[in-house]
Parts: sequence; structure tokens; C-alpha cells
Amino acid sequence: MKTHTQIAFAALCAIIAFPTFLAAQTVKHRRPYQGNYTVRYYRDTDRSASGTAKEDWKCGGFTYNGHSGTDFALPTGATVVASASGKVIARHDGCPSTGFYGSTCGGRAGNHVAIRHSDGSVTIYAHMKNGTINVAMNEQVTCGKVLGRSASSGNSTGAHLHVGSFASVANFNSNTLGTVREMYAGTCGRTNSLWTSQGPYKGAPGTECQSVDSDNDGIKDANDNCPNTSNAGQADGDGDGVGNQCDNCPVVSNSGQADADGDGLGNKCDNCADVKNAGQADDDNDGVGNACDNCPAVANDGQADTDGDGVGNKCDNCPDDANAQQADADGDGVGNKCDNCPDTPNAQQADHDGDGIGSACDDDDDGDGVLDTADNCVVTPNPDQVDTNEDGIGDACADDNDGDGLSDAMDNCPNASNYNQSDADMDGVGDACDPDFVGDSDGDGIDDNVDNCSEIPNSDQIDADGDGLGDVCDLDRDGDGFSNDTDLCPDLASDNQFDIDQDGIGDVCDDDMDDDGVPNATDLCPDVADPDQLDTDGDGQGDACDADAAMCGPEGCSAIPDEERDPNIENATIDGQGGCGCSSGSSPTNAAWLALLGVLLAWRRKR
Amino acid sequence: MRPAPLESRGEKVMLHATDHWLVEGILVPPPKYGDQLRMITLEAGLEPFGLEPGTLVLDLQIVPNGLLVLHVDHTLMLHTRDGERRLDVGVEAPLSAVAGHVTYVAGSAPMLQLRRVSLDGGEPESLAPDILTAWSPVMSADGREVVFSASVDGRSALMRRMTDGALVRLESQRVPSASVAPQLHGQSLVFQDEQGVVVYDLGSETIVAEYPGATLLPDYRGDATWVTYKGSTERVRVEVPR
Repeated sequence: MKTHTQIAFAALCAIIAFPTFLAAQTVKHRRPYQGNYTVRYYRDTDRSASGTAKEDWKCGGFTYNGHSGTDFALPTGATVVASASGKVIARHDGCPSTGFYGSTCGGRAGNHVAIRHSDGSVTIYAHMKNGTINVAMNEQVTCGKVLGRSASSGNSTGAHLHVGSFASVANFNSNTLGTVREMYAGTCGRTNSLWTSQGPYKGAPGTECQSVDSDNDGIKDANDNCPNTSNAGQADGDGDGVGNQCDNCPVVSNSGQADADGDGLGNKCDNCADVKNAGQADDDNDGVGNACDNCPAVANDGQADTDGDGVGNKCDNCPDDANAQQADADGDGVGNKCDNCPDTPNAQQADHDGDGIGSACDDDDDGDGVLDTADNCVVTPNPDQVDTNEDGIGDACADDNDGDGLSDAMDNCPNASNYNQSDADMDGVGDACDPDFVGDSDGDGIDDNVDNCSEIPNSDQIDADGDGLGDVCDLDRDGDGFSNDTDLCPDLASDNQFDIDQDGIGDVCDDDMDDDGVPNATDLCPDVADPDQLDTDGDGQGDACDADAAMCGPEGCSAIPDEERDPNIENATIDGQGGCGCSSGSSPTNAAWLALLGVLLAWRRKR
Repeated sequence: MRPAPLESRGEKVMLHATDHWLVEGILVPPPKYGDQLRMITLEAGLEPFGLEPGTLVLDLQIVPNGLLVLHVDHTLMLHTRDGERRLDVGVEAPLSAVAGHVTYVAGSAPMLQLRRVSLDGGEPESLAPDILTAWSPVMSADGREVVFSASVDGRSALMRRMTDGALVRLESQRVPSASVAPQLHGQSLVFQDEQGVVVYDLGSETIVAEYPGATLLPDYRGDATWVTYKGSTERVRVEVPR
């Protein structure tokens, strides 16, 4: 499932990346039903200023005030078909088949289907019969596809089919509708009919589908497996009749393209088929998307939820008691609803006397009527408190080798003190003395015997230096011999602690080890601070660290190319005409200039 | 809960009433086998607000400072003694006005989104942007919650928008679907659908009373609501459980 989802998601991204609707020709429509039923009412062109007149496309009165589409005289149960190819952008089913004047069900349209065509226009088929809608959300339908059956649902006063046409909107992928438009050509209608054949006045439109190639890929819509997406190759990897380019599950056969949640991924490859989650995020990789996973952080592909509280058993702090909020006041991992000590942490839920009150919060652990503070046998019932030898330990628990307050006969570790009697593997031998017991002391989900840090939670088990000790409890995480608290680079092994810029970050892990604001990677002198990055001789080595840097003087600078340098002279200098020589070396001339500069600066400061 | 007959009003419909004001109109008869919008011709109670008798409207509510009118061109206007203010366009009936706001659905039918706007004007606010088709909303008395019908997963659903904006789907086989706004009295939702009028308890998410074949009237006073039966001019008073 995951593989399918990922592939489908990639394909979806590819589809979204390219325009779905190309510059397409105007879509024309066939008769939107089977049979020869005629028109009952046309759209009201309503060109009067008051908006109260009625007038159809032929300037006749075969309409009623405010009517936004064409009403065809279909009886209940007639077959409604798509008048042109396109994508289902809305569908509603569930309104009673017989509506009434003023019904708002289904947004007034009752049971309906809305289809967006390749030119961006939308056609709506309204008032259909309850339970007959035959197409899924986002399904690509071809001209003539059966959409459902006619009826009188929603705001309707008798069986008929209302067909409404809406102009294109700027955003083809939106679910909004453009303005209502006329479909018929006539004196009071439009110039060019939107029907392949609009038929006679008060008659029925023709039944021919438009022969078009909406996506201009050279294949007519009727034969195109992606009529609205250019795909001349017609590749169809899953062989479901829908081309890869427009298939919402390109690797799983789903000819119906059902996409219940409308997130663009078909149900068959959607990791949350009923919850919109186009991103398909699935943090626990259990094949169930976060959006609908009852344990989004713990893998549980079965989604078992015994108490039906919406939280899967695997992450439910009360798997047998419904507690959707998962309240856990004491934070012991056991929800309040099923915690025998809701305000006292006791993850083990020990209850020695079986009274339903956990020992951790039970004042009388053994239920013998004597409070623990005064009981000479805390977890062994002895209401008489008999203590024959008067040693402070009641006779009932005198045989207590390990002195944990439990008589040996009742102690699951008679020779190891374990007041809590915890027995994680339920083998009757307490954890404290059970050689088979493998605990998880830090509760990080990893048994102590394999936990590289058994006392500190580290479910990730990261061990950077591979020494078998998890980083969270490793005093020398990088294993270089320097402890973390003194290591200038605690996470990067180094045999030294050099820190040129003295910023407390070792050079080996300091991105700017000379602290001149220029990262090492681009610094012309990475270990000498030179924020100006001067490189007078252009050799890629900054002047501040370049042994053969430019010679500068009042007249300007000149460089000694490396190949012209006298290899016997370490720091060559040249005096220019009327100028001076300078170098990064410490020649007497250079020293003299520096001394003179120092005097001048001191003199200026005094002034 | 036993119905008691009230006075007849003939073909007139009491569009909206308070204890101090009454607006009346006549329902425009629709053509058979069509889907004409439910329109009402206003007759009385309009004069102070600059509306002429004969004005066609889709819905109307009396609000403290005037009349809230949904005109037949789907424009929502507030008419006061001082003038008029356009609040939104593309609006569908019914309107639910309380606490200085009006909640309604708007768009191009059947794609209608749940919106709210202040009677003082300003930009309308979308209350459930992810829902493509909504209808018949009603606000709670404090204006903080909205109960409405919606198309969810392609099926009719009864939805509740909580005070924090969260949407909760309520368990119900029936949903409001009339041009007359549902009424919300505490936890009691009174609404009309194709089968009649029901009283629904939001707390237990169950129907607590049914009036098959009844039609909800838009007027109500105090702690009761009113229904009438189809084919009859008799009206009955229904006590709504609190």
C-alpha cells in the first residue's frame, strides 16, 4: 500500500505540475438524458431592469422568473447522462427523491452532479433520484456516461431534470462556479449554441457527442484515456483505461477513479481514503496516513481499537476503557479512566489486596483494616496484629527473609527485596529475582539487555562513536578522549583542542575558525582573521596569509608573481619608484614603516 | 406537546414577527414540475424601511434596527429607517440573525458556503471553508455556535460549528432542508425537512418529537415555536423542551 501511495503521490505531483486544462475549444453538449423527453422550461434570460420579467432564448415566455437553467420533462427514473466529458467536481446523494417548493436540500439542487469540462465550464444536473448517483467525486467521465436517475429532489415541484451551465473560472482546479450562462443560440439567447444540435424550440437537443480533442494531443476525446490531459502516448501502466497522466492511482487499477475524500488520490491508493490528505504523511510508516491513523506515531496497520474511543490499542493509555481525551493526571502512562491510582504515578498498577485501589495510593495495602503506617505486616493481612516475639514484625509476615514486608510464602522474590512485586513477564517470579526478566528501566521501549543507555530514555539509540554506549549517557560522545564537558568539539573526534579564535568552539568544528565572519570554506585565509579578504595578487590566497602578497606604496600596488620570486629569498620586497616596499615579512624596511605608522597614530590620538 | 388550533391566515404568510412588529407577505405560487426559487411578495409592515408593497424577496428577518432582506437577486440588504446597507451577494435563504450578526449560505447553487457577516457591515466571514455545499444554518442565541446541513462525503449531514470553530458531525438521519430557518432553543433544534417538522436534541443527538407533514413557520415568540400542517390552515403551538 505504501509503495502504491508513494508512486501515486509522485504521479499526482507530476499532474499538478502541468496545466490540466490546455487552451481548449468550446465544449458542446449532447442531450443530457436517454429518451426523447422535451424541454419544459428554458432559462430565464431576465434582461429586464427589475429582474422580474421572464423571457427565454427565443424571446418567448417558455420559462419562469429567475430560472437559471433548462428543465427537461423527465419523469421519475429516467436515465441522466453526461452531456460532455469532464471531471466530477461535486456530487450529492441522500436528499429524498421528492422535494418541495423551497427545499434547500443539496444546496437547492437535491441530488446532483457537477462536471467541469476541458474548457473550464461546468454543467450541473439537478434533482436526481435518491441513491442513484452513479459517479464518484473527481471521476473523469466521458460524454454519455450514466450519472443517475431523474426525480424531484431538492427545491422541485415535480419530476424533471434541471441542467445548468456555468462559465469558466480563472482557477480550473477550484470548485467554484462561474456565472450562469445560456446554452441556446437565438434572438434573446447566445450567438453560438452550446449544444451539438440544440433541436427545435421546445424540443430535445441532439444525442451526438462533440467530436473534439480537448487536450490537443491528437486523440479524440471519445478514444482518449485522458481527454483533458495531453498524453499522445496513451500510457496506462495499470491497464484500467485511464491514462497515467490523469490517473489518480496510476499503479493500481481503478477505472472508476473513486476518490471519496477528494484529495486527488484514488481510494485504492490513498492511505486515508475518507480523509483529505494530499500529502499522504504517514509518520509511523504503517500504511495508514496520519490524518486517519488512530495511532499516528506508533505503527498499527490493523488499527485495532477495542474500546472504540478513536485511539488505537497500541497507543491507548486505557485500551479497554473509552477515553478519547487520554487524560493521565499523574503521567504514569495509564489513563485516569483505568488508573487504580489516577493521581499517583504507578505504571505497574500493583494492587496487593485486589481492592481496585493501587498499592501506591492505598493506605491499607493488605486490606486488613490496619493502616500501613501502623501495620506490622503491610502487605500480609493480619487484622489481629499478633507479634508473639514482639520484634515489631507480625507473626503473619515473620517469615520474610528479604525483609520487604511480604511473607516468603506470598513473596515472588523471597530473597530479594521487592515490595512492589512487579513481574513484567507474568511468570510468577518477580522481576527483582527473575533471570529471564528483561526490563526497560528508562521506559524508552528498548529492553535493558539491548539498550545502549538503559537508565536514560533514548529510543533512537544513537551512538556516534560506536562504542556501545548511547550518546545520551556517553561522557565522551565522539570518543576522542576528551570528555564532553571539556571537549571543544564534543560531537566530532579530534586529537587536539585548537581554537584559533578562542570562541570556545574547536577549530575542527568551527565553521569560521578565525572568527572573521567569512566561513572557512570561502575564506582566503581560514586561519587568519581577514574580514576584508584582500587578495592583491589574485592568487586565491588572502594577503593576510600570503607570503608573496602584493607590494603596496603610495603609488599603488604591484605583485610579485610566484614564478618570478627568488626561491632563495623568503620574503622578497621591491621598492617602487618614489614609493616604498611592503610585505607580509618582517624586513627592516617594513619594521621601519610600521614604527613610523605607530608614531603617527599615537600623535593623532593625542590631538 | 398536544397541538391546539390557532387562527387562519388564508394564503398570507407571516414572514417574520416580534412582539412589536409583523411583516406579512404572500407566497408566490410556483410552476409545477419546476424548481422556481421560493419567493414572497411583501404586503405589509414595510413602510418605515423604504420598501414598497409588492417587493419580491427570498427571506426576511426583523432585527433590532430594521429589516434584514434577502432580495430575489440574492443580494442581502439591511434596511433601516436611515437607509440601506448591502451586506453580501449570492446569498440563499434562509437567514439566521442573532446577536448583531447574520449567518447564511452563499455562492452559486448548489455550491454554497457557510458565511457570517456583521449587521454593521464589513467583510463576510467563511465559517466552514472546506465544506462545498451547506444549507439551512441557524445560530445559537449567543451567536457563537451554528448548526447547519451540509454535503459531507456526498451525503447529507447535520453539522455543528462549535464556539472554537471546530466542526462536529451530529448523528442524525434527518437534516434541516427548508427555506424557513431552523430554530435553536438551548439544546433543542426545531427544523423542517421533506417529512415534516422535528425537534432534535443536540445533547443526546436524537429526535425527541416529530410532526409528520407539518411545515415550520418563520415566526416564534418566547419559549415556543410554531408549525402548520400541509393542506390545512390550522396552526398549532408546539412547546419546545428546554
